[in-house]
Amino acid sequence: MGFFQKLVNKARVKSPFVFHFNSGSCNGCDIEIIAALMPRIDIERFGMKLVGSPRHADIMLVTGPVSHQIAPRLKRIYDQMAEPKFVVAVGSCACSGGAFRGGYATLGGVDQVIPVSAYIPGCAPKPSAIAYGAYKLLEHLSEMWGLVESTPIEKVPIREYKRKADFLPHNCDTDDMEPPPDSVIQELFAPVGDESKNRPVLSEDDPTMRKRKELKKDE
Amino acid sequence: MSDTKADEITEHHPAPREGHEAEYELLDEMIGDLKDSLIEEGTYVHKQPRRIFVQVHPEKIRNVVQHMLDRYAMWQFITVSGRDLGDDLQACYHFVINDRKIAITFRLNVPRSKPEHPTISDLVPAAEFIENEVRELFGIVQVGHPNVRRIELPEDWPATEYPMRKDWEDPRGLMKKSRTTGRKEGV
Amino acid sequence: MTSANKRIVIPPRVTIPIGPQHPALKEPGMFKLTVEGERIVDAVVNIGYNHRSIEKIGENNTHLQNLYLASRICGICSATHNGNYAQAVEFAAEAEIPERAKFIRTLIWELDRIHSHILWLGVAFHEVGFDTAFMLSWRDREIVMDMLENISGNRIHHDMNTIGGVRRNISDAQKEQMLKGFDKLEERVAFYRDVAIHEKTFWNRVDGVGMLEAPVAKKTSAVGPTGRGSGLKVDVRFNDPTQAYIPMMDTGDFEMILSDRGDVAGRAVVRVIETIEAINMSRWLLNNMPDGPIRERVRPRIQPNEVLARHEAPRGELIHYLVTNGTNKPDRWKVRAPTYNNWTSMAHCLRGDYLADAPIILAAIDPCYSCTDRVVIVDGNDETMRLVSLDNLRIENNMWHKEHPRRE
Repeated sequence: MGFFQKLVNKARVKSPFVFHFNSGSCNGCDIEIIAALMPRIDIERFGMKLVGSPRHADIMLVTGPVSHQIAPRLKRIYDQMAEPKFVVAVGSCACSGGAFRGGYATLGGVDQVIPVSAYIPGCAPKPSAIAYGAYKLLEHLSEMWGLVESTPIEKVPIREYKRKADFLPHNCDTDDMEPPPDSVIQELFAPVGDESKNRPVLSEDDPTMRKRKELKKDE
Repeated sequence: MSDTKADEITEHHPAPREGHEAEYELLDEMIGDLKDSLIEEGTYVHKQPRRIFVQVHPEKIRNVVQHMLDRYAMWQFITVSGRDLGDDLQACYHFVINDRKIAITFRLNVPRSKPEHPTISDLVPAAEFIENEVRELFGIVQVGHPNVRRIELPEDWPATEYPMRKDWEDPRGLMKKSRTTGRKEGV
Repeated sequence: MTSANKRIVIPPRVTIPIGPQHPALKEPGMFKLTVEGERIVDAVVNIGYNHRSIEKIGENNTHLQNLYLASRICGICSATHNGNYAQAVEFAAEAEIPERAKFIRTLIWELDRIHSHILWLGVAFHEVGFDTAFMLSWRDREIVMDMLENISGNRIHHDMNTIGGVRRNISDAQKEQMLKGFDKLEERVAFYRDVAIHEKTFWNRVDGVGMLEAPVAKKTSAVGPTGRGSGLKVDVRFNDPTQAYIPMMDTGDFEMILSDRGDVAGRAVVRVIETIEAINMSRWLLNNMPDGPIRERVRPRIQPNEVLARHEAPRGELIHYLVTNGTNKPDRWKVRAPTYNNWTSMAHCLRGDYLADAPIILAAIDPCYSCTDRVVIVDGNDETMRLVSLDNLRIENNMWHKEHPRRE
């Protein structure tokens, strides 16, 4: 891959143009996509710009369970995008139909019509989740196009064992690890004060709890 | 909830006179004016405050609506809802009388074999859209509608399939299709 | 060109389809505008791209499942659908829910109203090209979203309601945080009210645009701020109060916000002042919330009954017509969202105005709609077709307004 191709790929990853398409959704995911452009979670600092025409776009964000009326238009807009193009399905409805599965007017997900590269579940996914999903797609693309060497990732050392779960069998890499001394284990497994503080916050005389006990007595 | 046998009758919950004087006053006036257009059974004041349900002869719906528009300034139209009652189809016209703050529903039952009744979209322009929708989802035909066209369903939907009827069997298998995963052909 | 060679050119009538999608808004819909030169002569509205057969799915679901389905009818006013359906089932079962549950339900409704109106304001700023205010108002909307997430766990689709009450309680610490948030929010919304009214960039674009006179509004049954901006007294909170609106109306501290202007500016003013009123209402609800349980057990099989539940969503009056038989599934469930009625009034508004004002008029009824697409401009004279995306159309429109200013 020559220098020019590498440069083009780097531009594609560092500054993708995003097109948003609503295929019959409830608008929750659309509002969260627009909220991702707002000053709190500003995806424009990652170079992602919202464009109004699919011909200018690299990535298409699709929301909504695809309704029958809009499926041919979705296909047409996908065909109008220029290669390389990627589709991200945002929200549960776009991933699999969401709450509208079993209806006669929805197809049940974007991947019934066009190939999808990334799925962002949630109803609606928070703007930070959308930014994270788009970032994951870009990370995958940069690995695919071999851009990773240019930005070396700093290796982080393995953290010290500070949690109970680190001693569970499936977490241990038993080959190159030596077991910690007994005193450390005792300290970790000792009861930590009042265990009942970890319970959920329903008090004993909450009427819901009372009724649940009554029902249990009935059954 | 134990008497599920006589559904049609126990669906109506008439209210006592005390506490609902305004609604009963309006209902009595209406029965006085429009005696022969209304059907006694099914006309009542609901237990929920400020609701009246009225059963109307299908051919007389225009007279009733015109009278209400003239006398009670019933300009606020809510919607039309259709319903499949087995051997009848029912259309409910929901209105609100803003001065008295009461919501009225006019119900009319049309037989399944000939589901027609006159339209009210020239009296109430806001009803044009929604009458189209009831027509394409239930098959209730409003005679004299100015602009019959497809509203909600796609253009290639066959004209005799009425999805919201209870006995509608999905000919294209869509309701089952949208529950399965994986690629589907023919879309 | 001398006066002898001048021709009188009657501009041909061209039909412009806009749709089925549109940037920065919600559902797909399609309009056909017939244009003569720059003036819109006729408008036809085509909806149906968003038909998801919710009522049919609802007939196969239990009432509890329908609560969550109802919430997802609209992402912006989701708490209203959720609460209205719960209210309808409780009316059908003739069950009385505890007072605290009513207050929490009403509080979520009012918070929903605040966030929806600020959202609309930002979008209106965006439609006239005032992107700075768009970004600023949505940044302040995050205060309300944080409050909602604090109480219910999700920014939208809160699903706070269940049949018989609400699902989550509000603790004292959350209440203190919310009161602090309301103080900050109130001064920011007062700032946006001043921007909307006194800032010429915005005011000149909405003043006198999209006139909807009161008789026409009555004929087309406009509801919500669209109707109140033309002087109609339609507000279900005052006309048909339920839940905690009953004690609220008894105090007499709050009043209906009306405007007799009839244009887009009137609707904007109604919405902004309603936001401030909603903040006052939420504060009242928080301070006067009674203690007690938050839910009441209601048996899943609901008796046969028919109910018409009305509620004031941010966009207007929302109706759920519910017919139950003796089972735990509804027999017939009909939802009428407020925007359905406002579309007919919009066709009237569009006539007689410039094409350049079409986006702000479409946005002024606050449609639950998202459209983005290309606008096909067919020039009858030289028979060329120009494919223009709506973003470019907005930029062109803003430039046109700059060159032909409305007010000197």
